[in-house]
Amino acid sequence: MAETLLAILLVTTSANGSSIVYRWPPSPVASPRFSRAKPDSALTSLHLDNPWRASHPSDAPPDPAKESIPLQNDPEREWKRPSTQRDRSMSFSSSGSHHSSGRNSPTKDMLECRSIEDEYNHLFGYSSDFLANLLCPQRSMCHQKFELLVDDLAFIGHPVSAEDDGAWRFKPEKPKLNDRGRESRIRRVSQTDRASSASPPRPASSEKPPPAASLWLQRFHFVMVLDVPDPSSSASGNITKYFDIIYEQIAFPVAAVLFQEQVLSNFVEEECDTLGSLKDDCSAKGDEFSSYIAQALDASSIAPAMKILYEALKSSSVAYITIHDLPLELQLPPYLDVLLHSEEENEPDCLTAPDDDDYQVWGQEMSFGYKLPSLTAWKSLLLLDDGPEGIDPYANLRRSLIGTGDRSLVEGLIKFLEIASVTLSLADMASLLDWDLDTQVFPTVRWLVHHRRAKVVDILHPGLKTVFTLPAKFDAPLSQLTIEFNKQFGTSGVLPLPRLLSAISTSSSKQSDTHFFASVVQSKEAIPLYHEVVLWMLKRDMLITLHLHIRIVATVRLKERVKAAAKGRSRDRKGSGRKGQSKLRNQLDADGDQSPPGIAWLALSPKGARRYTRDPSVGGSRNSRLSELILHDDSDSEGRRREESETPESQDEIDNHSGEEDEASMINDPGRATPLQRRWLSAMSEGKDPVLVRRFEQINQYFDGRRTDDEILYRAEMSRRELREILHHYDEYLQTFLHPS
Amino acid sequence: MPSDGDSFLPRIQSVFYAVFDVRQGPKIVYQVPEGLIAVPPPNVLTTANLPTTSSPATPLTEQFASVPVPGIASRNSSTSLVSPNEPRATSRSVYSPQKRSGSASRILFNFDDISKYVIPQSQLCGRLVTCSTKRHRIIGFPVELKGPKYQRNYLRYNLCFVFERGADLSCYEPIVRKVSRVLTACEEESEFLSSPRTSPAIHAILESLYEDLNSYSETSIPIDRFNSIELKIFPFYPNPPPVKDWMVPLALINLTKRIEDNWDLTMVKVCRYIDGVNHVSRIAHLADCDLALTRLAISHLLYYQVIMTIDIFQYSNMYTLRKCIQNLAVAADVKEECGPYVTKPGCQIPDWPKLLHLYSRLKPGKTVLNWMETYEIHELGIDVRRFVSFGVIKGFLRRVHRWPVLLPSESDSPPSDPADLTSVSHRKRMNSLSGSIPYGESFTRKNTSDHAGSSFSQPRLSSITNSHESPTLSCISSHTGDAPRRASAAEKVLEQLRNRDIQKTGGSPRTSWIHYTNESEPGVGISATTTAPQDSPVVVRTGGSESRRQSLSLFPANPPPSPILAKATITATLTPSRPRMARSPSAPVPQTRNGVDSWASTPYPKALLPLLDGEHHTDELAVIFEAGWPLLEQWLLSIGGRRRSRRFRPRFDYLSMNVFTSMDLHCCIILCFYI
Repeated sequence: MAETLLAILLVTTSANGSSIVYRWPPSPVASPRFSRAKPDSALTSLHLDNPWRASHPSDAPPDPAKESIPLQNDPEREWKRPSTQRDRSMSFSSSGSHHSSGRNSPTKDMLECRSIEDEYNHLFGYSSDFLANLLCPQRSMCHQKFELLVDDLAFIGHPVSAEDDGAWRFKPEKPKLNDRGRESRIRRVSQTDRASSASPPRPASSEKPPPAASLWLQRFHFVMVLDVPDPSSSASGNITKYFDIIYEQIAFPVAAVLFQEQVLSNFVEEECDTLGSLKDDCSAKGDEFSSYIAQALDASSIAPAMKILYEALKSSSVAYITIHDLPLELQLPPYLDVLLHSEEENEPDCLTAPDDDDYQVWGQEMSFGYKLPSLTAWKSLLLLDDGPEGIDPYANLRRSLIGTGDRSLVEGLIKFLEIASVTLSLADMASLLDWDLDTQVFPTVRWLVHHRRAKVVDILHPGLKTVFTLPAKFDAPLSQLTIEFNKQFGTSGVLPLPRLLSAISTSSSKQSDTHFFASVVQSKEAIPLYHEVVLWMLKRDMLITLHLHIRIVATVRLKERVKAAAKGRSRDRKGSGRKGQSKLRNQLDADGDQSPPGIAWLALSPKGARRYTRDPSVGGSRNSRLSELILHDDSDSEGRRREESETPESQDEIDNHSGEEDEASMINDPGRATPLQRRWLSAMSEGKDPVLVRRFEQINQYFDGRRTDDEILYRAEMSRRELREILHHYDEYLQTFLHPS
Repeated sequence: MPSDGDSFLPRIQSVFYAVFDVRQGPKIVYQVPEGLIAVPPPNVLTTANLPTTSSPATPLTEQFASVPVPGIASRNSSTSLVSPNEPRATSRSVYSPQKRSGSASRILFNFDDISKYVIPQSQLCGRLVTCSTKRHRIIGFPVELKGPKYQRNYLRYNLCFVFERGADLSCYEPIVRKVSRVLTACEEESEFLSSPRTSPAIHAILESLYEDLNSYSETSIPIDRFNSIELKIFPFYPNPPPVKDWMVPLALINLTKRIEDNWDLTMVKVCRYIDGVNHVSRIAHLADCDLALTRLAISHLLYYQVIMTIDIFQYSNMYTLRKCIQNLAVAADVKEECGPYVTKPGCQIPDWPKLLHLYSRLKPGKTVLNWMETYEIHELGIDVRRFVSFGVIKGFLRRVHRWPVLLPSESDSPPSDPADLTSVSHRKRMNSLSGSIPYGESFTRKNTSDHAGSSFSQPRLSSITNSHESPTLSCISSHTGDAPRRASAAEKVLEQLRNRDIQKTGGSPRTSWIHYTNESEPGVGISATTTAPQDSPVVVRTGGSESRRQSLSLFPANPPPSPILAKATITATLTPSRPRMARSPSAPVPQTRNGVDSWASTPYPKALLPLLDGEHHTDELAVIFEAGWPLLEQWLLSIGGRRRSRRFRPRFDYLSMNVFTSMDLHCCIILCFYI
């Protein structure tokens, strides 16, 4: 994640001007990106659309040393930022005769001349004063999102400022939406780390109520510097979204906490004083810049926080930072960088907007880039005990929890962790703990998932009778996985990994016994061992559970039967206008069946309705593709083809509607069946065992092809055996689909 | 995130031209439409007569996004600019946008807020700078020109475009750069910007930019006798994914109808063979184009989203359902299109539940052919290729690829001397292996019946593998022993394979790079059966494309002498994807009756070995080695090192699941598929 992050800066403004107080890493380098040969500088440089030329205006006195530290070794492919500060120092020291041809030669000189001064004062090829000034916007631009793009560098942050009188205080009134958002955000941020909300009297801020007097600090800005990603590698608008997420998840929360601490206890100014004097000391003593950076880590709390944050973001883990004794947990969505790569390689599915349900269940923060399955009662939880840190998985957890002093909470969580298992559904866990599903279990799960301690998976059958398949790609090369696997299970007599995968991948073709136990394990004694194997694979996303989905078909015979029965019933009271009416009725039924904007649409809940309206639009765009495709096959004049393709279609439609009863059709949503469909459904049960019939009536509303077997069983509170029985007895009318949910 | 719902391109909210004023600092000189960007009340107006203040106000008719009429646009702007005084009044009276209803009264933002990014210090000049306010995004390219003729020895100016905050500005970046470049050129040549005589013309330029770019997405603004601003906004598409040789392009529009004379020649040739059946490599052969150029052409078409890519259709393919079937199964368009599309002409169209049921029975591990036999597809009149590709195109069906993995021998003992191994002993080993298949029963019906009693046992496995010290295999294990080295070996082979494109220019037959292992090479254990060479002439004489397919495998050491012939052979090899074949499921599978005897001894290209690392699927291998799945499967069987007894092999055996068993000692196949 955050592969584009280059640096984190803290910029302050006082009456004397702006300065970069601290930065991490000490000497960030923008990745060179112009893989083009260097233009001949002898030519006139009227080519502003050529960035390299643009940086060297021709009528500027040709400056030989307009080069910064070489970004990479290939001189043909590099592009340097000019830096005026350095230029001056350069031209003094270097011989000054490299005019146009000497572009590359001064590198050696410059390396020598790369003085300590440079390191203090330069960043990304700009002088740090200039950059600081650039990054401290007008006061009117403070307290809002800041986004500045200069060629290939993006600066993102949320500058904050003191009031007109120089005092730092929260905005008293909330005149604008934005401000309210910010305030609530601050509160939320401090709530997410429970420590802060649980201990209101913070140790350091004893004199809180009067706004801390600030001596010089006017504005400060916590800036994240990113390398602007190649726009051509991602879909339009994705980069904007990428920046937005980084802003929302990192830049804003940190700025909010810093602002709060500044208001409450003048924290930022004090820190900046410390850092500033340390910097002056170091530079006066002639110390290396790195020694300043190192000393700063000990002297302040912002500096190490920035370091930890940067490193965590780069390694795509959760950053546990502490600002002014305020623990903060920050992270970016693990799949954020997917935005930057064109979609072909990753599935389009994974980037689709989450369902409204998901959005609600997971919350705004986790709705994007986490690739989370929906959080439902029939899912299960897989604890990632050997997390990325590897050491004590719960140490951090315990520390942050025990800090809250909320013993019951801690105990509850520990109990939950003890009981959690992939073979139990969340609903089971809730009933075992006697917890409420929505208010206790789900929040705990959310918390665990957000902190990457667990992930939501499909429930695993205790006897491993779950049907698995393999994902498209593994996270690591197979050879590496095999080695890891051997390390873990090499001595235990498990099949080697490739063979195991082979067995899993071929299992689902068989008629019966497609599940893991039958295809791999095969003996009861091996279950505990293979349980571990499955967990190992689940943790690495190497298994996908296949689910059964069921749809109901109304066959022709069934329809005829219903029709005959209806005729018999209505024969005696057949009216004159009867026929047309029934035709209309059929029409309506047919409409309802296809669930476009008809009556059925009105009957849906808003959520469902939205989902319905979305689906056709997806199909719609594809539709055009395919009709094009059909046209393509009989290449002819366009008008005629249009006519041709339309007539059969409309003909078909008429047939479909009037002749609905003459051919088999699906009952797409049995839960909202039309009267005719209901007659069909009841006709399916004719001559069946009453117990079965009752069960079928109870359960058939879930046979819409969307719900998984797990969900059906949970909702209908039925056992798998009972479901199997129904599937067997109603075989004629049911279609089963096996695919991932 | 385009800001406008109806338009692909973001809409310009405002265009303004700002300079560094000697007395006032950064300052907006002209903006179009007027008054949208709040500026501090001017103290002194140095360039007194802003030309726009007097222009008549005509409500702008909302005819954006209409058909591009560049003629009008350029004519208008040309008249207005070449002679900036007389005709401009009329032209502007027509096009003046300043009274755009609604938004004209609204102020977008204060100029002061962003002035330091619009007219920045010199370090930022010459760079593309994008800054943002709460609701807007301003993109500009500040320029600083130095020279004694300017009052402060420099002139700084910037022509900025204002967009909505969420707009994607990728397509405007070149525009901004170019405008800046042309203006700079004008200034350097004739002081166009700094001279009070010509600078008022900038306002007209802004108007043209605003109007034409918003309405027509292109403009042509002559500035003086030598300079003009010629702009066209190209919609921004992301780069397409890399095109692989085994992808099958499928046209989404009628490509051949759009071909024009001035098209690239390769593109014209390539387009002719895009039919949803030919894969890239085959297209290159058919069109007689360089493979790399063909790839380029295809990726160009992909970029413009006029084609999509699907997989190579073979009857040995496997497919599976994807999650979106749950929505697409009820989508009206899918339901209606499917039947007519997949049914052969003249046959009765099966109803949707039937088709859906058939789709749901496509499972990983079950080849299309198996599926056809199980569900008697012939009788339904379904064109299987179209049936499958319909699902793939709609997105609810997905190809399942085979990923062969060559397992290293598990024995720890050092490899035996190659000289020890005679073909006889090798064959013996093979036979002994075929008798004991430890895992076979879990995969296949046939072997279950044969070895019903056998069950998994680790010791037995090791005893079997211990007896496996053929040089070939030890060589393999040395390749596969450590991961990095194996990967590099695979890379090397791929590299070598890629180089063949270059080698091809030397006139050598394309197949010559494949080094087949055959009996003449010492230490290769598969020479046990030597029947293949004797049989092969017969194969050729029986004629037909199928036999030619075999000829590739049976005459490996003697590639066809002329490149042309080689090409023909290759074409035959790849017949599974030929339309004729695909359209007639009655004869779906090329028959390998003549290849029967060479089953276990098919010479295989050595370069195949390092590629069996689970990172390359069989389509890829098939295209690299120009062998269809039947041949490839034989190679894998040979490599896997198990000789099969003839008695148990049914006619289409190689398409059944037995392949996984028969190779399970050293080569197993993983099937992966997407969610």
